[in-house]
This record gives sequence, structure tokens and C-alpha cells, in this order.
Amino acid sequence: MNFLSEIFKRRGLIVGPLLVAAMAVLPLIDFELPGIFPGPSSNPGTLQILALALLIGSLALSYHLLLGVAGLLSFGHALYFAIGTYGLAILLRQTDIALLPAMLIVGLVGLVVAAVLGRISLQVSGIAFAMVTLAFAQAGSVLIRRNSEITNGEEGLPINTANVPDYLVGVVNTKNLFWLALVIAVIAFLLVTWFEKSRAGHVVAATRENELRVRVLGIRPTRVKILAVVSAGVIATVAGMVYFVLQSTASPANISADLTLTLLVIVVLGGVGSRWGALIGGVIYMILDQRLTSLARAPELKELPEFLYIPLSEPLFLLGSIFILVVLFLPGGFAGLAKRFRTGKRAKLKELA
Amino acid sequence: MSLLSVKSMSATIAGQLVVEDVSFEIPETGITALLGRNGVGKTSTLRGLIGLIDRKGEISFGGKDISGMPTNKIIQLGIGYVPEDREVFASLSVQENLKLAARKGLDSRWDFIEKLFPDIFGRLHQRAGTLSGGQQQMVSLARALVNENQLLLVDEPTKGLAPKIVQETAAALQLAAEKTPMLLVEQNLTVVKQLAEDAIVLEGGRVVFQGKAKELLSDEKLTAKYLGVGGGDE
Amino acid sequence: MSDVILLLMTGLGLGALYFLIAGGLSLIYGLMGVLNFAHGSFLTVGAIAGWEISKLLGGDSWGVLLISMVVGALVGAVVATATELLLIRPLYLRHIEQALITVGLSLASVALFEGIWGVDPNYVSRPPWLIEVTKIAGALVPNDRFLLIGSAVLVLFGMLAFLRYTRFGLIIRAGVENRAMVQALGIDVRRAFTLVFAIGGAVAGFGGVLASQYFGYVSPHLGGNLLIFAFIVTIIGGLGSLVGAAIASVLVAVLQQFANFYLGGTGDLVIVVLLIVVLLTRPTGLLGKRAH
Repeated sequence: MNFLSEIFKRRGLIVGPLLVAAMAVLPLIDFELPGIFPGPSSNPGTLQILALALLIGSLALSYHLLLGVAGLLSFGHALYFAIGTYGLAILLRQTDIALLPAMLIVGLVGLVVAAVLGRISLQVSGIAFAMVTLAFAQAGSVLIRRNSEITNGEEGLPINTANVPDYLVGVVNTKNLFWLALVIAVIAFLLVTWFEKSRAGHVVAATRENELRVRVLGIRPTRVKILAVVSAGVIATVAGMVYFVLQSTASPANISADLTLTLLVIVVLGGVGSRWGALIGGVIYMILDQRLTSLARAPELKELPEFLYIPLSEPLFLLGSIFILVVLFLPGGFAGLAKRFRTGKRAKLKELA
Repeated sequence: MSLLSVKSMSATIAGQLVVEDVSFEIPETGITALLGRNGVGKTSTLRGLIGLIDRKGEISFGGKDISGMPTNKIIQLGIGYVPEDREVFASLSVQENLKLAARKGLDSRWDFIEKLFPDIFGRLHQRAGTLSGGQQQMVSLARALVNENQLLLVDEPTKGLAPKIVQETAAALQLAAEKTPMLLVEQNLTVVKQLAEDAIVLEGGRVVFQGKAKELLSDEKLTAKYLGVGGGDE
Repeated sequence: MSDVILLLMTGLGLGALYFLIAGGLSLIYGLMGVLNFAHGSFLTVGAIAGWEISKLLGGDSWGVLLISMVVGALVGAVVATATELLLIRPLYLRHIEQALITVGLSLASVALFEGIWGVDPNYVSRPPWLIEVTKIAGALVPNDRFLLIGSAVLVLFGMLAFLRYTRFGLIIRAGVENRAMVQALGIDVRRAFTLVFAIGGAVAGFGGVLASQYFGYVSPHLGGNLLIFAFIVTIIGGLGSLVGAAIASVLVAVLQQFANFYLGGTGDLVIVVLLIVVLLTRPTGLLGKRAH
């Protein structure tokens, strides 16, 4: 439990538990955030969006583990998310296994696949690693599209709720799924924190700076990198499973290169190397994605001249453009900006004193 | 008045400090040897001078401040650079290597090059990667000598060459230095003795000796202290 | 036999399209170390420009097609040049950031295309001959294959001649091998960067018009769909090698066609397996430069 004390040392994690507690009571009260939430916080629609946001936040955290901690640029991380969604979908449809054991099996599959593919792809590094991971995800995507008798092809595979407990099925129970998503986000955050603070985390961080020096010290960086790949893969698989139960469908979009690129964008926007940046970035992205789509259909927008209306109604255009600006002008992402702001303020206070 | 003046230059590679605080001056004629044990930052000093690695400090060349200039601009002021390990373009022919280097066409200095390196003239259309080490060194030197330069920076030109080729290379360097001053990094002290008038010794990223080469090399204690050898051959 | 010939010609035609993206992609990566995710958008923008101009001029004559090819190439070159100058150059030598910025550009540009031209395919008009077939040894080969193959061969030889016989070509070849040494010879290698982007953009834009002729339509995802295969081709061929890209394009596309036909639609899978095998046994690709 050493890492817990490590976590609580920082001011960030007085905020952390408070934040979790505040989120946990949301389904029980009628908290409103006009413009951001579609309705009061006890409303299943709002909870659905928040739960999705937490899961994408967890997924972004797992990507942060790869890029921000281990320094591995992956273009195929969506593969593990899809193992979660499709794995659970197929098990529930093809077998009589109950939800919990089914989730355990799928989690194990995610772990094994990550270990094997990680071993192969870590033969190469840098851009080549990115390309191999892209190729693996592409192969997964092909498998899903080609075997439509099992995966239902482009249509996506709907959930078979026969073996899903009643308290997770139906709109009225969205709050339970929300709590589940919250638990997963917390666990993912703690796991990533633990990894970063552990010896393994220090080794990969050192490897990122200078691989040679770590080798000279007699540590095998590849093994630690595989550990990072496996941890990230399992978190993504678990997030994928709950995402699937929440959305009721496993769809080919779960494995698309666009999803991985979106994660990359989120992690970079949040600030590479920042856990909070990744988690909050994921949450904000998902809420924006959900809300911008409905915002784009807003009648007020339609009255704008065409050259403004068209770009503003495309969420990905806005996201891509913001991303470009951040890479060009804000190298630390938004987390870096916040830090600069904080230290800037502190410096000013000193001047005053 | 010195041709090149360096004041407290430091240089980094990937964030690591490789040259700490180096100051020296290069006279307008002759060969100045840059000496020191392996890994003291001789190559990094040369690379820092022309901006191939990140550097800080005051560097002026012919009275011009070059410390903030990009590499290509510095070279165009009239510097010929012969890198460690030759770095010829292996997939290009000998002629293409020379053509690429010639800032004002090949014609003006063609005869001079032919006189210095008759060997590579028979191989103008051969791919540089297929040449022997000595021949590659000739191409690398010739690349610097096809232009009218104010200064030559030459990094370990005799490294890994057979004794006979070492002598040929030294002769070529001597001929080249008649026209153009040179800063020479060289491990072979026989060659240094033969060529250099002045010497600069680096240790731990700093200059520990600057003076006449003869003074340094005739004093066995000094050479042993700075260079870790007895002053003779390697 | 007629199956084999049809598969071969279709594979060659598709390979021609792969090459028109992968050629520029490979040169850009080889010279600058930039993995350009926006390269698919260069192709799409060329295709859209060609389609718009052909609508404007009307008709399905060869003259109109020729003009739209030129326009596609020009627009591709202009967009690519602007990309290099405005987005890539400020991040000089910061390769990961440069790749990231092209990711952003590709996301934003595809979304913009969708906003302006819609998500659905827009059908193009084609010279009648292109829709007809030619009989070769019993196989009925659609004529558009010949256009694609011929154009790609011309582009390949054009690019090779440029690399071999011009000073800029010399600088590019040297820069692919050792960028720093080119700078150390007093040459501003960044001008070559802009140039390879312009060339890559022109070839991709030209390829966009050809792709729209081959598929029969223009859509915002035209380039993105081809880009993944172009990446694979680039890696297999060896980053920085134009001839490698050409050989790998043909290899990948032909293999894909044959596997799809004879091995029950496993074409994409076979390609991915090929990529993995190449990466694990020969990480620099078939004709790649040695990694320093």
C-alpha cells in the first residue's frame, strides 16, 4: 500500500477522493449543468454520457501509460478496446457463461494477446513500432469485418442480455453502469499511478531518456515495456467491456484507426506525461463529441453564413484544428498550460510578498 | 587578429553536456591541432562550431558572429568540414559527392583536386560506398577542398588507415594547408608533429593547454599528462 | 488463365494507385523523418479539385480528364507546400510532433471535406473508352487499368529522372542518406524539404484524379482508405526508396488480389502478415536505407 501514501502526499489527491465522492452522488441528486449536461444529473441520458466519458477517460489513461510513461507511440491501441467489446459480445451470444466469468475470460484474452503482440512489436522501436501496431489493429479490423456470421459485420453485434444481471439492463439501471464506469476509471487511475511510481515506471521513464544507460545498468527495458503494453491492454479491454454493456452494441468503429488517433489527440491535448490530463481530456472529449453533434444541429447555427456553419458543425474539424494549434503553440498540452498558470501565479504572489 | 575566436562555448547532445566551457583562437595561417584523450569532446567541439549540435557561447569567424547561424550559412562563409568517419554519401558516385559539395561549380579547383588525389580521379563514376576506407577519406577531403575556403575543420583524417595511406593523407593535408588554415583533430602524434604549428588540448570539456605544438610534444611530462602517451607513435 | 490475367491487371492497377501515394510518402519520410498522415488528404483534395473542374468544363472527353489531372496535381502540390511551410517547418526536426500535426490535419481536413461535399460518394464522369474492356488472352480487362498502370510508370520514371539528373534531385538523394552532412556542405536542406512535399503532394493529387476514375467516385475518405495500404507499402519497400515503393506497391496489390480470389477474401490479412514478416526479418524494408 506504499503507493497509496505516495498518492495522498500530493494535493492532487485530496481533490481526487473528493471528486470521486462528488461524482458518485450525481445519480442521486438533480445537479444541472446547462449546455454541458443534456438534463439533470439523475437523468439516464446524462448518466449515459458521463459513463461513456469516464470509460473513454480510462481508455485515454491506458494510452497515456504507453505514450506518456513508456514513450511508445502506438497506432493500434483500439485493438484491445475491441477485444473488450467484441470478446464480451461474442461470449454472451455464443455461450451460456454468466457476465462476470465471461468478463474474466475476456480480460484474460486481452492480457494474453497484449503479451504476445507486445513481444513481437517491441522487436522494433519508434515509428516502426507505430506501424506494426497499426498493422495488428488493421488485421483485427479485417477479422471483424470478414467473419460477419460471428461478428455481424458492419452492422455491429448487439448485446444478448440473457446472462446479464437485471440490475445492469435497461434505461432505469444506467446509474449502476455509471457507478461501474466510475469504479473502472478510479482503478485505472490508481493502476497507472502505481505503475509510474514503481521501480518499473522509473525504468521505462529512464529508458525514454536514454536506453543505453539503462542497459548498462543491467536492466532489461524490453521486459518493462511489455509490462506497460500488457497493463495498458488490460485496462483498454476492461473499459471496452463496460462500454459494450453501456452501448448495447459492439461496432467496427471500436477498432478503427480513428479511435486510436483520437486517443493520441486526447493524450497530447491533455499534455503528454500527465495522468490527470489524459483522464480529464478523455472525459471532456467524449462530452464535447456527444454535445457538439447535437449542437451542430442547433437551429441557431444554421442561420450562420455557410463558411462558418460548415466548419463549426464538424466536431472533428474543431478537434483537429485545436490539436494542431496545441502542438504548435502549447508543447505541454493543457496540463502544461495549467502548470504554467499556477507557477506564474505563485511567482506573482512572491513578488507581492 | 585571429580567424576564429571561441569564447566559453558549451555544447549538448540530447540534453547531455558534451563540451563544458571551451575558449580558444585559431590563427590566420597554418595547422592548429586539437588534441586530448578519447571522449574529451574534440569532435563535439568541431560539430558545435558549425552548429551541427546545440551550442552556446560566443563564436566569431572572420569578425562575424556565427553562434546563432544555421550550419549551411556558416559553411557558406568559407568553411570546409571533413567529418570523423568520412561520411561520404555511399549511394552517390564520387563525382556526385564532389558536385554536391562544390558551391561554385567544379571547374575552378578541378586541377588542384586532381593533383592531390589522383587515385579517386580514375573512379569518378564509382559509388562512394564501394571505395576503400582510404579512398573514402580522399573523397571526404576533396569535398572540402573543391571550394575556396577560409578555414578547414578536419576530424581524425587518418583514423583506421594503413600506414602508407596515412602518409599520403598527411601530405595532402600539408598541401591543402599551404593555402588555407586548418583546425585538425588527430590522434596520431607523428602526424601532428609533422603538420601542426599550434596545439590546443582539451580535458573534461575544457581547454587545458594552448600554445606551440612543439612545446607540447617535446615535453614528455606534458604529453603524458594530457594525452596519456609517451609522446611517440601510437 | 483468364482469371490470372484479370487479377494481375487489377492488381497492377491498384498497385499503381498505391505507388502514387507511397512514392511521395516514402521520399518525405526518407528525407525528413516525417510520417505524413495528411498524405491521404492530399490525394482526396486532388480528386475533389479534378472532379469540380470536370463538372465546370462538362463532358467526358479525354481533354477534360487531362485538364482535371493537371488541376488535381497542382492543387495537391499547393496544399502540400502550404502544409510544409506553415505546419511542418516550425517544428523542424521534432519528428513526433511533426507526425502529430499531420494527424490533426488529416482529422480536420476529412471533417471539412465531409462538411462541404457531404459523406456520400460523388460520381465522376469518365471518357467512354475507360469503361469498356479489352480482351487479353481470353480475359476481359477493364480499360481503366491501362490508364492507371501507364500513368504510374510515367510518374515513376519522371521522378527517377528528376532525382538522377537535377541538382535538387542530388540534394534529395544525399539528404535521404545523411541529412546533417548535406547541411555541413553548406546546402539549405530545408528547401529540399519543401520541394519533396510539393512533389509528393502533386503526385498524390494526380493519383486522386486517377483513383476517382478507377473507383468511379470521389469521397472524403478516398485518400484515407488508400493511405493505410500506402503506409504498409512504404515500410515493406523501405523508407526513402522510390524503387522500393514501386516494387512493394505491385507486390502488395497483386498479392492482395490473388489472396482475395483464391484464399477466400483474405487479401488484407495476407498483406498484414507480409508486413509483420518483413518488419521482423528485415526492419529496413526491401530496399531501405540503413538506419543510423
